Order: sequence, then structure tokens, then C-alpha cells
Amino acid sequence: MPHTPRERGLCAKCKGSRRLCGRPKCPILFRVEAMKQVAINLENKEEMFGSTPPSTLVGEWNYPQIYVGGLIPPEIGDNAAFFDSPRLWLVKGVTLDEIIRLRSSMVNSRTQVHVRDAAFPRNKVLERIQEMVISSRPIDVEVHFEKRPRFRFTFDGIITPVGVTAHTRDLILAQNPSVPRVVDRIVCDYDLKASQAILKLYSHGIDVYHIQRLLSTGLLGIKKQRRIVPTRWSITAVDKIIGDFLLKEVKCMPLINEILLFHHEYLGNHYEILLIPRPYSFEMIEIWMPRSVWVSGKNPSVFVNWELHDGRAQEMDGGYYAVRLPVLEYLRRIKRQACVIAVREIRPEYYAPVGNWQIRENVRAALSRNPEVFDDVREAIARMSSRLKTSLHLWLPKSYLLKLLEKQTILDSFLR
Amino acid sequence: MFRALFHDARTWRYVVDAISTLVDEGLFKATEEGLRLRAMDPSHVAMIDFEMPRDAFDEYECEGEAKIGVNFDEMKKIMRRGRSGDSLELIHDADKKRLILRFRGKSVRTFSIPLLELEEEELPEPTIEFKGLAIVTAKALNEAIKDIAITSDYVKIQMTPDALILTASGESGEVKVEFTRESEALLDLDASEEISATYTLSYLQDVLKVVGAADTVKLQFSTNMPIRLDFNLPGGGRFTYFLAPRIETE
Repeated sequence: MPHTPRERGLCAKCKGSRRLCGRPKCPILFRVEAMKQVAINLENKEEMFGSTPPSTLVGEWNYPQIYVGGLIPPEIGDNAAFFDSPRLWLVKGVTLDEIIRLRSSMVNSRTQVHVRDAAFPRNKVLERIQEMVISSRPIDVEVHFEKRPRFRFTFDGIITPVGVTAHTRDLILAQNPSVPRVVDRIVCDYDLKASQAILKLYSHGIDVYHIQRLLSTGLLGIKKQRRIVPTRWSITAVDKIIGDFLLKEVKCMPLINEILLFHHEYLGNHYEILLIPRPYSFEMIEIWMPRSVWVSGKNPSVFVNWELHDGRAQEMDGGYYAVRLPVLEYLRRIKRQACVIAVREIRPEYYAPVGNWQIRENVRAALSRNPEVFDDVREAIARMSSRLKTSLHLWLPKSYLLKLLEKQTILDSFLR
Repeated sequence: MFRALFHDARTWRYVVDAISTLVDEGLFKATEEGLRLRAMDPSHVAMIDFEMPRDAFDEYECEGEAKIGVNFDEMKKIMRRGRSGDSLELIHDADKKRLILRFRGKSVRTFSIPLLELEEEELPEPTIEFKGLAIVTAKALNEAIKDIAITSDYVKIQMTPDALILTASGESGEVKVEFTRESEALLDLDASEEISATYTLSYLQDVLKVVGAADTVKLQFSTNMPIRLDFNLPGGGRFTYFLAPRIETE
């Protein structure tokens, strides 16, 4: 779903040439351009060979009879890992255009399964995909298509985009997957609940993206209860389960000593992470600037999600959990708790969404830098505001936590 | 080893009710001097310091120190079963890791709950200089807070050399409760200057669950500083409450 209905009408009028939506590039045309190359290469071909990073996509359409696909780039060898490497993309400063081009060139070789097929695959393609995702390194695969591949648009806020889609008759692993021992053990543990499995993998240092792929392809949990989980759901589930686990520890830790401010920007997403020496509570303020994705009006749209120390919360979405996870990882690392105000400003440069890995990695990058230190929350907010393009009075009044903090003092300030 | 008998189970009901509004779990420390609990709420806005000296109990045995970690939700449910005329026996069963609560009245009813292994929290000793002091009856303060709750979520407490005044204003109107030197409910007042501070009402409403066990309350505070409330309990027990103020900026 690339656009809202109103915007779709706009696109029809514009046809990519007049830039009526105000974005610097027409995301539809750009995508078509990128995929054309793949399509030419695949034309009239009934098979392809490539190394998957590994990478998968599980759709939610037609649940519980859903599509599971392995994503195969036109690249062979260890370099293929680059097609699904959020962390590396950020470090290397890969641009939005390049990411779309990379992802568009991948072929989603998919098959339709029932979500309950997870533990008892009746479909050999599903079985191969499961073998593929336990690997922590790229793996060579040979794909035989049922029909000729066709174009598909998938732009999404949570899922990383994908290119051409092809129904798959057979998927053959041309190489043995390289499986970390703990992954092997947990995937074969049919008595461990999925949430426990996720935490165990995480505590053994398995990457959240790898855990997410395992959950999504139905490889975690008590055998009878295993399900194939749409990618979008599994990303948020993993963020939330790990986040909740870290939070339990963080809530028992002493407060930070000073007001800390971190910031980072990548792909037209600017983050300001403010930590205040107060008991844990968390607020995410999202500022969607005019002309960024999803926003058609002239004014920025501001959304606020928060949770308090006692667990009271306003509605929280996938983006919220994606910001919260790296912040909790940071707090646990420094063995402190804090009240967190995370501001995300989405700028027009972010003309097409590429998935919420961008949030996670941006925030991680911000927190790996040295923070600015302040004595007064107001000074810190002024500093944040100086880097944001949206004026203070458009977002600050929407903050629930800052309003709360400003007025209610805590005993610590008087007892020392 | 710790065992104590308290003559009125209802006192404990109110105390536990008030504590349970602040924290889910807490640690009673029993020593030869008596039983004590200090707890700060998770948001660090309020703190309870509760002490029941050994003389307040009819019978009291304690060798060394006993740490009794309890879940207050569980304990509250049991304490609410205490009837008028019941006395309460508290026993720390270290071997079975249980706290035994026994009501002795028309029948003997024994409950036991598992002990929690809690770390002892280091809570800072509150040292605040108070500029004003007032003693009012617990009932009158409770009524005043109920009056305030009609219009607002916050209460402004003022003290002048002649009166203790609680005011609030909200969208639905204003309210003012005055205790002057003539008021029957005001037992003592000592303020050298005019002071005022604002507090979140919900915290006060929560702690006032203890008024069923107390006759009088001593209020102490200073301008824009925490308030200290001392509820005196039967037999020399003490229930002290600290609450951080709200700073109203225009």
C-alpha cells in the first residue's frame, strides 16, 4: 500500500512527472526503474541462482493461508550479506536510493502455506526456507519458478522493501547453512516457549534480525504451538519481548546522574534522545514533516506514545518498540535507569519508507556517541530544538511526560 | 525468630492498606526495638516510614533481626478479614519461609503467606527544615481532602500564623477549607511566616487510608518543599509519610 487513496488519485494525475506530491523523487517510478533491470535478467527464465543473506518475507495477506518467501539477490558469495545488513548500511551511509535499488533487485521466491504448517512442513519450499534462515551467513540457493516472475510494489513502514515476486516450485540449498550452536539447540527444543526462546537467543548474542527471521518462519516455540508469523508482526514481537525483559532489570537500577542528550540522523530521520535522572518512563514524539512519507498536508503531524513507570501507557506501535529496545539496551549497559524522551523527526528526504530497522539502528548509533550533558532540562530541550527543523511550539506542548516532569518534583531532590 | 501479638487487628488493616497503595512489595524489619518498614514509591514522589515499637505490642519476642519481605496485595486481602475485637498475631517462620497472620477473636483464624526475598533498599534519611507545623484530627483532614477532590487533582496547602488553609481550583470551580485557631479540629499550629506548597491529591488520598487507625495527624512543610505527615498510631506506633511537592510555573 504505497499511498492513501487520496494520494493515489494524486499519483494518477501526476504520473510521476510533475511531482505533485512534493517529494524529491517519484517513489513509484524509481522503484520501477530499479526493478526493470532485474526483470530483464529474469525474463523467460524459470530458475535463478543466488546467495541469500539469508533474508525472508512473510506476508500477512490472506492469513492464515499466507505467503512465505526467501529473498534472493542476483549476487553470489559472502557479499550477498550486504543485501540485508541494516547495521552496515548505516555505518557506510548507504543512501535511500541505494537501499531501494539493492532491495528491489532481490527476488521474493515465495510459496503459500498455512501458519500451522510451521512445525510439520508439508511443503518442501517452506522446509528449505526454514533451513536457510537458521544460517548466520549467506547461503547459495537455486530457485525454480512455477510461473515467470512478476513485479510487485511493497513499500512499508516496518518491512524492508522487496523487489520482484515469483511463485516457487522448488528451492534447493546448494550449500550447508552455517548455524550458530545456540540457534541449532533452540530451534530443536520443542518444549521451550517462543518468548523464552527469543530471550535465550538474545542473551547468547544472536542478532535481533536473525531472531526475528527464526520467529517469522515458525522455528521457535513449543512444537505444537509453532506458527509462521508475518514479518511485520514478528519484528514488533521480538522488539517487545526483549524490551520487556530488559525493562524489568532496568527498573531496579539507580538513576543516571545527569541529563544526557544524544542525537543522530540517517535516511532523513533525525533522532534526539533525552535521558533525565528520573525513574524509568518513556515517551516517543514522532514529527512527520510535510512532504515526508504518509504526510500530504502543509503542517507536520505529531504523534506521541508514552508509558509510565508503573506500566500505564498510551497506545504503543511497532515504531515505539523499535525505539525503546536500543534505549533499554543502553540503560542496561550503563546499569542505570532514566526517564527517556525520544524525538524522531521524519524529513522530506525520507520519501519512501524502508522498514523500521532504520529506527533501531539510528537510535543505536545515537547512543553509541558521546552525549551532551546538561544541568537543566530546559537547556537540553533548547539544544534539541536547535537541531530540529520543526519549531518547538509545534511539538513540545504535545509531550505528556515533560509536562508531568516539569511540575511534579521527586523526593530525591530534597533528601540528599 | 520473631513473634508478636497486637491487640487490635484493625490498626494493621489500615496500615497495610495505606502501604499497599504505595508499593507492591516491601520489607518489614523486626528487631528487639520493634517492627519497622520504609518504602519509597517507584516514581520517587512519596515515601513511608512506619514503626511499631515493641511496647505497642501485647507480646513481643524477637531474637536478632528478622527481615520479612511481603507482597502487600496478598497481605492486604488477609488483613481485610480482620474483624472488630480480633487481635492479630504475627509470626515469622524462617524455616518454611512464611509469614503467619493469626486473628484471635471469636475463633482463631490462621493465614500464612510466602515470604519474598527482597533486597534491603537504601533509602536516604529525610532531613528537611520545616517552617510550619499543624496538628489536626485525622478525620478532619480526611474530610478536607475529600472536599478538595471534588474540584481538583491538586491541593494547595497554606499556613499562616493563624490558620491552616487548603485550597484548590479546577475547571468545575474552587474550594477552600480553613482550620483557624478557633476550629475544634485544629489542635496545634506553629508557623512563623506564611508558607504554601502544592501536592498531588491522589497521593494524599492514598495515604489517608491509614486514618482509620490514627486519631491525629501532624503536618509539617515549607514553601515548595516536601510535606511530612505523622499519623500517631495506638500504643506509640508511628506512620510517617513524605510527599514531594508540585512546582507550579505560570
